[in-house]
Amino acid sequence: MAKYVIKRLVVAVFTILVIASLTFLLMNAVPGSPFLTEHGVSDETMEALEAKYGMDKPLPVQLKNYLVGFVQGDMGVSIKLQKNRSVSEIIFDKFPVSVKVGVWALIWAVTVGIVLGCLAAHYRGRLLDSILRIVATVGVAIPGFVVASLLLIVFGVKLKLLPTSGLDGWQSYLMPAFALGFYPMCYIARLTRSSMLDVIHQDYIRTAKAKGLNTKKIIFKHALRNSLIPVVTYLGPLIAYLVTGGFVVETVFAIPGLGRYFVQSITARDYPIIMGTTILLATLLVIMMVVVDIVYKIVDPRIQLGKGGD
Amino acid sequence: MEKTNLIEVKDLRVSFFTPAGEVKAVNGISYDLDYGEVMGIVGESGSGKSVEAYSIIGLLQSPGRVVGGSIVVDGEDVLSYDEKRMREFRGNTVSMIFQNPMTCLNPVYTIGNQLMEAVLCHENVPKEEARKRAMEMLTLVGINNVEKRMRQYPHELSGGMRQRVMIAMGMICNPKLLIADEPTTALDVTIQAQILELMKDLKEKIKMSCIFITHNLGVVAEICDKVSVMYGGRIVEQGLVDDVFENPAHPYTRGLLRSMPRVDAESYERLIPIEGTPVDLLNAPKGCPFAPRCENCMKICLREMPEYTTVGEKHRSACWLNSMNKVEGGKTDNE
Repeated sequence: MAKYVIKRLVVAVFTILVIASLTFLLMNAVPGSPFLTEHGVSDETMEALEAKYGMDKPLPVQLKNYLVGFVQGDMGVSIKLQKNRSVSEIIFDKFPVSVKVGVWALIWAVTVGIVLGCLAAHYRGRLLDSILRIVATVGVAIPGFVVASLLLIVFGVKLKLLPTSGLDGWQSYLMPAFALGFYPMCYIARLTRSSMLDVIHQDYIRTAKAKGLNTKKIIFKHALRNSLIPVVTYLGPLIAYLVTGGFVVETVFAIPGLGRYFVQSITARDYPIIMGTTILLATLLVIMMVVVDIVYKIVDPRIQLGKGGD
Repeated sequence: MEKTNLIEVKDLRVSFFTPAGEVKAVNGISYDLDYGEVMGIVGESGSGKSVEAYSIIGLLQSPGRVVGGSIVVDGEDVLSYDEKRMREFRGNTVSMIFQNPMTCLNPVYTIGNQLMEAVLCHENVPKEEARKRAMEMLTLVGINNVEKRMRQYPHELSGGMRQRVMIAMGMICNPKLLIADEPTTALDVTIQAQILELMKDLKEKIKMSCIFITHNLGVVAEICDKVSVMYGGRIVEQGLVDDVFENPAHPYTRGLLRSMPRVDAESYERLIPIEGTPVDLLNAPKGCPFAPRCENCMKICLREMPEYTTVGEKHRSACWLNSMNKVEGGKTDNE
């Protein structure tokens, strides 16, 4: 087990380096420069700026310099959005904001999604199942900004129940967390439902019934744990995406989080920030993949890590 | 006063309401079983033997429903139980073990957890007590190294061992009746013999009452006191094992016995199969369900269902041949 995890982490480091290199090359392949403005910039100024940030050198050298710096813990400084502020400082500033909203979104999406999925499977074909299915399908189909805007209009503007922007006080977390978690909640409900429908026809569920267990125990102890594998698979990347913040939700509710900043940095071509945020997301994703594999083993003891594949 | 039996089933009818129509899977069967007795129910696939057993502990799958008759266990009418009372009854008064031990244990919980759970859901005892009971039970069903087995998962055990665990789980609450639905069918022959040996042993040791569902007549001869032969949702012959095997009265029972290999058979003797296919319960024939395959079929067999005829002490059979022989003898059984 420990050996397997170490092996996976070594592979993860290489994966992150590859992602960093690809991002760097793609980012530079897009025409234009961070220093172009509407007023035009003189050639001398341009050269001076490029020289200052080391962008006058050939791309491979730039990449090498970046990676060497990165390994030493230096992610460079912002060249546009917050001039000359270090990227790591900016990330430390923005990331916790996104994490706070993301964690609440995650908690509600997982708990409500799983419970609704179980209920829908148990009451298959009845009214409750139909209602939940419609809600889940709608939730998966409508884009995030519609949900966010609707919430904003209804609870923020019309009813004036909740603050419309910023993050002060717990009330201001309600709408962003709901909006961010709505799609995953619906998706998890659907996953749980279909996976549980397979499981509740298994022989061991009949055994559990024959033992005289009550329905709650049969569904939430015997059936649920066997239905969780697809949900765990989905949760891995989901956690990474949710804690790094949703662009739409952070924009609509004016939350100074990382998701919004990431998109801003791309528009502004703030190269070091693009690199920093991309690497952060990639690292989280890769770590979550390893965590998911370990969780598989905990959920289902039949799964053997590191046998076969790899 | 009439002596009460452990279980009395009277005219039980179970139907499945499918889009194609009503399938009468169990069509009016009656039997009783005394404390400490073991009854075998034999019949081919689709004869209704499992459906009958599931209806006792209320595990019929939709669209199946009990449509008539009564099941009385230990003096109580089981069919009148509500969901809550039924849960208390299941696994406690009557428990059931199933055909395929490979899929009947939950793969993600340990053996100990699944055994203890059965105790904890019926009795208000501390966890330690449940653990002790589980380990005693495992020892009783012939599993060694019990401490370790308690911590293992089903996939770490062999098929025979898992069936032993299932039996232990079925008996851990000291049920009055154990229903075994083809408990040896999915196992290979040597393991089958071991499991049978175990069940015989338990029958002697703890005077367990048991309904043993099987299509293996050898198993019945080995372990049962009584036997009911089912065909097309009905019991066609019923009696003490020795009587039924010595003097089979129904042509179907005779057919079953002839199609079974015997150790004392001469080398030139061939097994004789029963010709034809099982009855289609969706369009069940008007008369005797076995008539289309019966070598002794008469006109009346196709028209009317025969009543039971007593052919010996506690031995009855539903065949026109038997009742005609009886009429000649001057006596009919009007049960």
